[in-house]
Amino acid sequence: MNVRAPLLAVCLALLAVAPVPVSAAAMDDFVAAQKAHARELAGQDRLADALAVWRTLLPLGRPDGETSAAIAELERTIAARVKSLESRARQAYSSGRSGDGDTYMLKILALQPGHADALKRLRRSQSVVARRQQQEKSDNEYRTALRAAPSTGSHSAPLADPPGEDSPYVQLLALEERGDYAAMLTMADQVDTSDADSAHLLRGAHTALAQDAERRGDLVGALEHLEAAMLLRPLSDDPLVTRCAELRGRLSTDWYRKGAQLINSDLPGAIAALEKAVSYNPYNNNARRKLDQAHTLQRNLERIEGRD
Amino acid sequence: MPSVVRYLLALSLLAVAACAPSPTRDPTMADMDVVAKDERYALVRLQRNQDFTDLAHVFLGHRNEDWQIREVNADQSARSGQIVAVPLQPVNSSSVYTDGYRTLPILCYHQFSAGEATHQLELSAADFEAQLLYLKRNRYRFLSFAEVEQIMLHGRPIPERAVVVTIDDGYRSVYDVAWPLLKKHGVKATLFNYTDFIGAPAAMTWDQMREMADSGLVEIESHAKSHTSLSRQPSDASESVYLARLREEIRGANRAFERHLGSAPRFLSYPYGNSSTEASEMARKEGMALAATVTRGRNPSFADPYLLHRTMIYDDHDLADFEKMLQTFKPRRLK
Repeated sequence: MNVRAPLLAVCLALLAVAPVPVSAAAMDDFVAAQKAHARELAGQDRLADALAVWRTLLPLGRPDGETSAAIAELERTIAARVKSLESRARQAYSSGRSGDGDTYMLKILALQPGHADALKRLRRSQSVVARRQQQEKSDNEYRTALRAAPSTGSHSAPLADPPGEDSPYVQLLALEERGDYAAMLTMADQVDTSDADSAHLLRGAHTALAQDAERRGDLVGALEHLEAAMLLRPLSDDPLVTRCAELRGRLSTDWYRKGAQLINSDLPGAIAALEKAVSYNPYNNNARRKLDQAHTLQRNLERIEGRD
Repeated sequence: MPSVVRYLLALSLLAVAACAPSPTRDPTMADMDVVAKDERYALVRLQRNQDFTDLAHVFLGHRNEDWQIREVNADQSARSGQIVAVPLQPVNSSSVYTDGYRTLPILCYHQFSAGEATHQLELSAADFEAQLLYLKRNRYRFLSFAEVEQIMLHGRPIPERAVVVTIDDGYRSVYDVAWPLLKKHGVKATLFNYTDFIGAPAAMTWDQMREMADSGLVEIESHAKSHTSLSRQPSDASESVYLARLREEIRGANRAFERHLGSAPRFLSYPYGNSSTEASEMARKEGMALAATVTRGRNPSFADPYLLHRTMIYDDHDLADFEKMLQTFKPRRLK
């Protein structure tokens, strides 16, 4: 009787269903591989990834010296870099360089996933762009609907009070269709265009003129038109707010550069330029410091001249 | 045959049967050998026939979440007895990395035809199935809008290759043509229907919508009431008239959904994809968690939840065009 074959089968089968035995070697392999991987990631400057991998060793209990030191060092480095990026982002946003500000915020998220302020700020930037796209689409649709409303059986309800042929609104519309935005503003100075529909058209005119001015390099003109557009038809979370802030930032930077150049040759001119820089962007700290420096110079000069 | 041999043979057969992998049974927590754990990670010893997708299924709720496990483990071989770290909370909730960030493509379909498509917004069954198969072959993960809400509002990371299928309007062809294909391939989809259309000859019925929703594959959500644009119209004589119209468009649809399906929708797709500051705000006030346009663009984890971008799929798109629309990562140097 040969019972060896079934016995072997039983042994093999029991081995197969038995749980995988605890192996110290498997754990050692895991720890060694994770440490090497974490060091490699840190070497590639992928600090958040490196930190995540080091932290996989923490469930094992009290971490060894190398693990504790690596985690502490990474946490310190990440915190310092995030702090520096936050400061650079603030400067970028306050000087109207939103794109740079967003890049700093993305870098913060790459270092510290889930960073609440960075997410909030990036979401705001995304919203501004998406709202602008929607506003443009909506403006186009509105204009199309206006043209279609009197003559076609559009599914839109008819106008409650169709404006008369010679109403300011209809005249504004005609001017807008010709692209004569300047004439629209002249007309607004002469007749009552305070109704909501006219205000909408005038806002569009100011926005178009602002774009023209910006293309010509006339930032002051562009800013004036955008601010006038916002006053005409204020919107909550108005996308023009960001565009105004960007222009203010650029103007502030331009005046700051001019003031810094003049400080050794034309002190009153430098002070006037730096005051403009601060008035366009009160958060321009470089301009503020330079202005303080110019005032100090001026006082010293006055004191010297007084002695003479 | 001696009884002892018979007994040993039977025993071995039983043991072999016990250890054979069951093709239908998913692993459970009882099958997991957790050797250590803290609030961030569980360290699990892999058993025979287990791989990272099994751990993802048990700990992270879905097999396709295995990428989260791969991200934190040096050894990707998934050997029996290997120790594997499983993250118990998202390691990178914002999905931004040093080389760029993940984005979520949301596809927007309208009508379907059994044969050739007859207009741009209609897709033939064959083309639709080819697109679904492309996504499946390339291991895309289909997300529901409820999952998108988790990503946009609750810090869940964007999966490695994720895509959202949405179908607007509620045409009958969705039920007749698209639904059998969604079922056949187990694809999740979100239907945005406008309630004035439901029950019309060319539209789906409430019963058909209920049947689809009950499958768990399909979400039925709002496309407002009458499909008029929610951007400002000449008929909106004043701000208050405009706001009242917006409210009624969203609320009216919600009432119909509650009456027929038992619950109000949580997601909105703007008719024609048109929104405005006021429309987004109204969607939020009326309890919508997310709202979508049809403006093409990327959806990172920090997208505006009330102006999500979607990509319209047209009949004249071939598979190469389709592939280009599936942008799941925006490369940026962020070191």
